[in-house]
Amino acid sequence: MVSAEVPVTAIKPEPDALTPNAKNRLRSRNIAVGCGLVFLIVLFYLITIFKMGGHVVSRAV
Amino acid sequence: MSNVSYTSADASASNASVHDFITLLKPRVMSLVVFTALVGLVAAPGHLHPGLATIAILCIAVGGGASGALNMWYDADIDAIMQRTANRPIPSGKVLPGEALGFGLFLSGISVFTLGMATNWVAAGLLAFTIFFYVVIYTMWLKRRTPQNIVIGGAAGAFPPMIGWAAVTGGFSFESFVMFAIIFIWTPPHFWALALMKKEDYGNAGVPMLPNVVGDDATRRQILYYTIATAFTGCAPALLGYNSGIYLAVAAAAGLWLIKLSVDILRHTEGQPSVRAGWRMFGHSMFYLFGLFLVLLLDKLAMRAGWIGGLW
Repeated sequence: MVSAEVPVTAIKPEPDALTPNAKNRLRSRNIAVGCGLVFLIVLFYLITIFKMGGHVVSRAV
Repeated sequence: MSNVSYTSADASASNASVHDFITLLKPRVMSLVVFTALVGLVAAPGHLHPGLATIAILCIAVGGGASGALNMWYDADIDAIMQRTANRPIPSGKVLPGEALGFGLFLSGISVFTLGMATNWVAAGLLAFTIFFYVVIYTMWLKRRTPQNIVIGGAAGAFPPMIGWAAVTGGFSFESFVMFAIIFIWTPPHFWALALMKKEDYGNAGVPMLPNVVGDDATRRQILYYTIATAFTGCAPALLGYNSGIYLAVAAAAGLWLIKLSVDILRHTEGQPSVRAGWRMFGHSMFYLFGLFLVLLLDKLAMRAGWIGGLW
């Protein structure tokens, strides 16, 4: 049981305490989350372009 | 600063791999969702930009997967008891329940929102309703309470072609409802065949599947009745003039074949032949649905190209 005096930061797992296998899994999860976020940005950009269609170029510059 | 060291087990996140999270999405179920949604989308009159159509299918797939993750979150206790599901990510301890809940809710929200942005809010609303129906109506309410769980709950798996249709047209039609009806009526005999094989598993978990409540013989009769209804409904798109005589011939032949398999279940009630008949019905009925929707899709494309006409 963690006492109330223990700083909040102490409840974070120390990276060194993770096994190499757990580190690898954590790393691939982080990469997957990052890729997911980039994918969402590209997806919404594409939706905008597809919805605007050819009109995207027919505007006054 | 405390000198206490913590391991990953103390952290609020598990050591789950990316693969474990993908497993939460029930990829095999997702493939059926994707395919039937695609057929609804292609069969619908009107035009949708191919890029938006691809995004719509992706959203429907992710929405279906999200409902699978939420189902696994809620059912983790009974999944742990059943042999068939004990290796799922939550009961096996690979993914924490809270992680699955957060994952499912996030994907549900993002898939509905993105579908609404890419197509229209009727399709998005129907996707949201489908997720709600599967998670709340089927998983939380019906599954543990009534042997009719799969009869009513089957509607959740039947909505995807209607969502695909709505993505193009912005609404519903009787034709899209017929596609819904085919999957809706097909679902009970498909899962009752599995329930016959896994009766003990369901019994241990306290899930009132039909064989556990009314017995094997009554279930076998129900499988036959529903299979006959499935065969008729499978022919409906042509009988209503939406598809050609070629579709009708294929649907009728496939329907008769499925009825033959359900008669086999009725005839073989003991030992290995009974088990074989059950698994054949379960596996082949999946093949029937994929095949029927594939023929429906090809027939529709051929009609659109002017190569063949509707039955009437």
